[in-house]
Amino acid sequence: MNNSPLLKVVNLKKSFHVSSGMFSGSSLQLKAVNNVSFSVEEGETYGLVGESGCGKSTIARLILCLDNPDQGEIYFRGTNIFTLQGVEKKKFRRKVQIIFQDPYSSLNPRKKVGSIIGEPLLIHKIVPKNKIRDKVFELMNMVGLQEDHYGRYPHEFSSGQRQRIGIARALSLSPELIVADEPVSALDVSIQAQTINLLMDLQKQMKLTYLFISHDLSVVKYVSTKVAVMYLGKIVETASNDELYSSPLHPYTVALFSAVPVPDPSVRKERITLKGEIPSPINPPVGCVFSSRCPVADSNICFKKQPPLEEKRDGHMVACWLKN
Amino acid sequence: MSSSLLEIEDLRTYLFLTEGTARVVDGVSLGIRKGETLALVGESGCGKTMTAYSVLRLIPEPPGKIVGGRIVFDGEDILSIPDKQMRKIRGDQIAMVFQEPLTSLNPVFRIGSQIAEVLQVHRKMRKRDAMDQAVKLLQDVGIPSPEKRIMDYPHQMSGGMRQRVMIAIAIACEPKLIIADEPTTALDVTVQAQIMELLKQLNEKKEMSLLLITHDLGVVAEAAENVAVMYAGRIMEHTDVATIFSNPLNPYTTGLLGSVPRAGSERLKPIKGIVPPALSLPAGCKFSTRCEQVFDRCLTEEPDLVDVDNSNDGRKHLVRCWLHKAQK
Repeated sequence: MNNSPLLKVVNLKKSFHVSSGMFSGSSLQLKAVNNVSFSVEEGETYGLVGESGCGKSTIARLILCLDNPDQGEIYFRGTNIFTLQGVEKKKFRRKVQIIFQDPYSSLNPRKKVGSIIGEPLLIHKIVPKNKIRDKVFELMNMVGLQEDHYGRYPHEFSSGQRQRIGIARALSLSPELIVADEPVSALDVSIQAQTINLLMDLQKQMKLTYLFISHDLSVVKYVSTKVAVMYLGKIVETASNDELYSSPLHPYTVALFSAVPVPDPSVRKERITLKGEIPSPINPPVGCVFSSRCPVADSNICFKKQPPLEEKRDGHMVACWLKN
Repeated sequence: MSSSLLEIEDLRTYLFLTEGTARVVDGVSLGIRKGETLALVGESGCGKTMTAYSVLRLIPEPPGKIVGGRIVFDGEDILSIPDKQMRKIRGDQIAMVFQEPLTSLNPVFRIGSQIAEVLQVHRKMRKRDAMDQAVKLLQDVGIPSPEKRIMDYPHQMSGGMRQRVMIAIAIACEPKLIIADEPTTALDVTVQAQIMELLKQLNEKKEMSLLLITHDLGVVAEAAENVAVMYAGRIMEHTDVATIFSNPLNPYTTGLLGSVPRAGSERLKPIKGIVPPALSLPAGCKFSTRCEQVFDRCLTEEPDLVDVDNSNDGRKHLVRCWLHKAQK
């Protein structure tokens, strides 16, 4: 058991039904997550990148047990989380927490900061009722909020401070894994940097493991130890941070990296501009999911069969026919 | 120096609110040459968009009002001309691309007629000719099968497509100046690259000047020639793009650059605190509350924007900071 990863996702599939029109009875299937497997080791920051609609947030919801998958399993410390019930499930929820993207809609506007941060403590009965206030102060202190913020409402705070409230709430149960779903994308650049620094400090202090979901490649590069690139519900490439950014293999990863503007005018890089946009996950391309936009797609195989995710180098997995 | 297209001098735009007067643009001076791309950079709430709206005279009045300054566009002082004449310039010679392509297109009209409308109004084209032109424009901005797409409603298109439609509307009359307010913020990175590429091409081919409002320093580095950094309604630093990145002088500019995650695992050096609300700005330098290098004088006296470039090649490096002077 000691060698099993903290989180292991195996062949996960989740699709949603969307109605094809207001009056038509039939419905279409949207494959949000299509056969995804990965594992997160204790203490690491696992970055999940991809453009909108590629299934990142669906994975986050499944890991938190907020949704049930169509197929596949998620193991947390070796236990399948979808088989947990009752007390066991409640225990599991303590260990996995989430930080949301939007610091405006993720805090209850009618509750004071103290009770937002204290509520998980109350529900899980972590500390006796009369100690909750002290514990909340301690948490607020950790994320850089002042004690006199205790009795205020969320609307009195700036977006960066709200995000700190969200982080304090996530930390209140001393979780082992934090799923951070675009935690800094709604923030201004200087506040974004403050929040990233805070998350990194907390990780060191509390030995947290992060699953860091973002569409911002430079942020993911900065925080992650391992990165997986998603496209249309599939992981197309995964490797350690250094390896992935220094030698990306999948044509999508290469194009994605080349599209990121570098904040240095002296760097003039070759840009691969992808044609078109992400196809709809309702009607993904036959064969490789990226084939419709791939600049190097080979008509013999890429349009016909899906490439498997295979290990190319040590720990560097890629799903591409041309690299296998 | 080639002739300047837009010259903003000491622009002051205030919002008169019940709580007090918010000086959202307070003494901004900028110039844009023909074919130049100028980036206006800063955090949200620092007056970038209000500056742009002032140029188009789109400030909602009340509560807002342009209380001072001059805006000279193509030799004409556009703050003193009548509304009717301004309407002729707006959309024709100065066009705007807004940040949110979904809310800035009319949901109940087909995109073809929204593009054609500009041409019907400004070029007095007949509807049919305008629609033909709309198809060409959609092709120019890279929308596949444009003759079918002109019959689409905005909700049938993706975010990137809608932003292309916005650009098509903006370039319909071949304006001399395009103001793009965070044109790629709502878009995915690969689509962002496409849109920036498109704006660059238009800028180069058609010699359109571009005022690019953004907070993304990566976009600035790749697209702009010159950069003006704004904070609390003021220009803090203004120079060419290479100098901004290699030799930033204002601590606010340094702070913005230090906030961007880059290669290597160096700890980020963000600016502490947050932008002060426009109603309670500090006395003295407006950045003094967050500045790492603040000293006595900063708290009481506000520095001017002065040129610190001592080479004689005509380049300028304007900085508003007591640390860098010529300013004594």
